[in-house]
Amino acid sequence: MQIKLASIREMPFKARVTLLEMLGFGVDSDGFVTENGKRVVDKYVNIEVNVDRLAIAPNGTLILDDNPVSLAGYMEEYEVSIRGD
Amino acid sequence: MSGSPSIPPPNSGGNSFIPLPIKDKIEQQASDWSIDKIRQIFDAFVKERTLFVHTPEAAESINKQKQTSDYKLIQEYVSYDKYRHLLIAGLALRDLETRGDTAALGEELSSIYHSTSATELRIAEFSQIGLFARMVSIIQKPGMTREDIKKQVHRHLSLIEHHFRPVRSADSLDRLYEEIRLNIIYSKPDFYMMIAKNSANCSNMKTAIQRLEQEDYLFDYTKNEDTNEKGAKLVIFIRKDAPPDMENYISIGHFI
Repeated sequence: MQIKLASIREMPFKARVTLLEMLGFGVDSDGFVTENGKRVVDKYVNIEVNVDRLAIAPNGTLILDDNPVSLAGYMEEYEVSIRGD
Repeated sequence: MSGSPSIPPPNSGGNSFIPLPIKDKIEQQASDWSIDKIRQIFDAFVKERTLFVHTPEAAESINKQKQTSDYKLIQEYVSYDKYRHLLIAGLALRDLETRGDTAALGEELSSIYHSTSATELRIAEFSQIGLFARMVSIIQKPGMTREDIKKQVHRHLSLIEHHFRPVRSADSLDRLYEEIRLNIIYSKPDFYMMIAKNSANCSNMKTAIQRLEQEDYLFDYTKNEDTNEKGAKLVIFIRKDAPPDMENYISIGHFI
């Protein structure tokens, strides 16, 4: 599957929170992403995802911690390659 | 897997967002990040299959690795599990290091420290240094099937502390010497690789090996030393090829 890659490095905190809300998630008082009131855990490295270290993948809206191991896990599991446009 | 994307109107309060303790961060919002702009990003996410990341360098590097022989070797011999992800992450880190993208490398290293255990970190480093292919070549023996090799690769990665030792600045010479000695004599790994990346660490590693030689531990090793304007790098590779009557004998293996 081919996907686009976009950086949210310059995206302010509130804008990230708003985007997450549009996607059906929340953010708790410590800045961790929540779903149905529970903190979202990265499925590849098993840590809670903070808004400051956020990756959002399109497959059913997968919330990840932005680190190379999780990204490799995601790209392997979904056989993802990045579109160069 | 997280839930499928619903499309509530912005700020509908669909989930619990508690603004007060993070008020300061919220006030950092730049004026040009209007709700319309965020909705454009949301639309792009939904319609264009976009992966949003804080640091895109790692994702780009991982994507690039798919064309490399190391990546193909990992796919061939490592089952789909966290070891595979760690090894691929290591390849991406090596790519950033080779490109001299120190800012991105620093960020990615920091994120990998944050998200992995010490053992897992060592597997990523092992791959970053380019030792995975070497390990496979040692493991492969005539008559082994791919499944046999995969099992052996998995076993060696699960015991990575016995096979790979990055020398850190925090390591004292005595500690390093003792760890190498105990590992070689008691764990008897079929190979043991060490790497040091600056002059002081290289010196410690060489001295530790010399001490072992002086104490009549019977082993040989090869080393690959590289000193340039970026600093020194030393890889020592010890391989056991023990004849049945010579316990603890470790013979020369050629490295790189």
